[in-house]
Amino acid sequence: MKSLIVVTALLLIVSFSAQGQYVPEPEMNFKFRKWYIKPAAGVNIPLTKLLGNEITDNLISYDDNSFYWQVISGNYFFDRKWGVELTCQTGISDRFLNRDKRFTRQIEGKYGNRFFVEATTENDDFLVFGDNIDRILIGIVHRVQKRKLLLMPKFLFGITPFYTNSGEAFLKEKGTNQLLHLTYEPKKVSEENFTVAPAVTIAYRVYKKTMLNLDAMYSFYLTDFEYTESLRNTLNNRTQTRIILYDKGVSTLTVGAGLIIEI
Amino acid sequence: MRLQKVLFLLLLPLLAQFLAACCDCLSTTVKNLTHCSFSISPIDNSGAAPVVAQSTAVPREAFGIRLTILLKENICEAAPAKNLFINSAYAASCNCDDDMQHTIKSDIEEIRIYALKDFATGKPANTDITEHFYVYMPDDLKNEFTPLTFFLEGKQPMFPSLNNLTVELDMLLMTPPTAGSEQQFKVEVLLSDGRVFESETSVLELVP
Repeated sequence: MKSLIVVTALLLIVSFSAQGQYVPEPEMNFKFRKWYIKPAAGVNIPLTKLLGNEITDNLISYDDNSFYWQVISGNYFFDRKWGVELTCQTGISDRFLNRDKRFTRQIEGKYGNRFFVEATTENDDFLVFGDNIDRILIGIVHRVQKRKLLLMPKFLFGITPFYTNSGEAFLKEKGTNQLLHLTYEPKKVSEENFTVAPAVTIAYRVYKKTMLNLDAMYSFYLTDFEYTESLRNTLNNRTQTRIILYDKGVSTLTVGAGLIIEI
Repeated sequence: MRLQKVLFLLLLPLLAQFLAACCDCLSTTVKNLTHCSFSISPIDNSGAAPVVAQSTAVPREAFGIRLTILLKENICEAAPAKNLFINSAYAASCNCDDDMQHTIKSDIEEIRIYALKDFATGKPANTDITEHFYVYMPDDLKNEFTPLTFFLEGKQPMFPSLNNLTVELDMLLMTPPTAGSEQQFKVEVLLSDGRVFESETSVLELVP
């Protein structure tokens, strides 16, 4: 949380110092347009990670490291300096493509010496590119425009939803008739994950209504869910359980580039 | 106008049959099945799935008995009803019965397993040790072993399909013998029509 406050403060300082240097020019070449469309793409770099090295990591539709592209993103400026932004990002990670295999492999790694493993999950098998990490943000934007340069510090908030699926495995003991049933069930799931995200966009005008831009965003949200790992003996129903906690503060640095198209 | 009414009345049965006519359903074959013969084989469950033991030495922690019951059939065929006007290809109603149906004349009422040699303390030769055998059905939603003594309550072991009328039931010994490694078992299957099938395994070496 401290880092969130520091980043927000830095952005505001950058914003106001830029504003301080700004001298209004009556003969501006460019108008202050009301609408921006912002197609962009980039990477999500974890500052703190949600995933550890748990078997259940393969049941969560999330990856700490991912690429993103902005499906919908735009600004509306109700004032020369102030506006609002809506951004919908979809994350892409190849980690999803083989997570079922990895789920089985991790269980085999843990129990494979003693047991034959037959594992299944509820994961969606139909993902082609693994795009399942979404982020929807809205917020307020401050606009500083000087000649061909544009600086937009902003404060966004929204959600980073992802899904938690269940998984199971049957563990047939080698050399005996014993059969264990291993299950992973998500509990206390909060699928939305309220997110705050101070960000800044720097753009350079390359054409009359088009700018190249660089985006940097720091996002933070708290997760509070858990998985219950149950290992049950199918003969006498004796069960061992373990709670796997995912109560973390997840900080991510998002860096991307794209275009700003004025309308 | 009168001609139209006459034509309508003439076509009315045709229309009615068009709506009610059945598809050309396959003739329904009813198989009357009965348990005819059975056999038992020792199984070795030390691998991923149980297999018939290839020798008389079987790991005692992974021992079981596979019960194989063969059902046989008497076939009677029911002839399909013929339509007067409508060819079945134009039928609007297609609620066909299953083309293969079956009835089983007898149920398995009880399965008993006896140790023919001393099994454990308090369980000398010729003792009923059915309670130590369990059945695991992979499609059982509860995903648990059922004691053989309760397994037949409310259900019957089923054959895979009407083309394969062989019932296989793997009964796993979940409490290994402690009185000695040399063991022999007798299996009794009691049917609801009063017949009793009986068979013995060869003398086996249940090794640690």
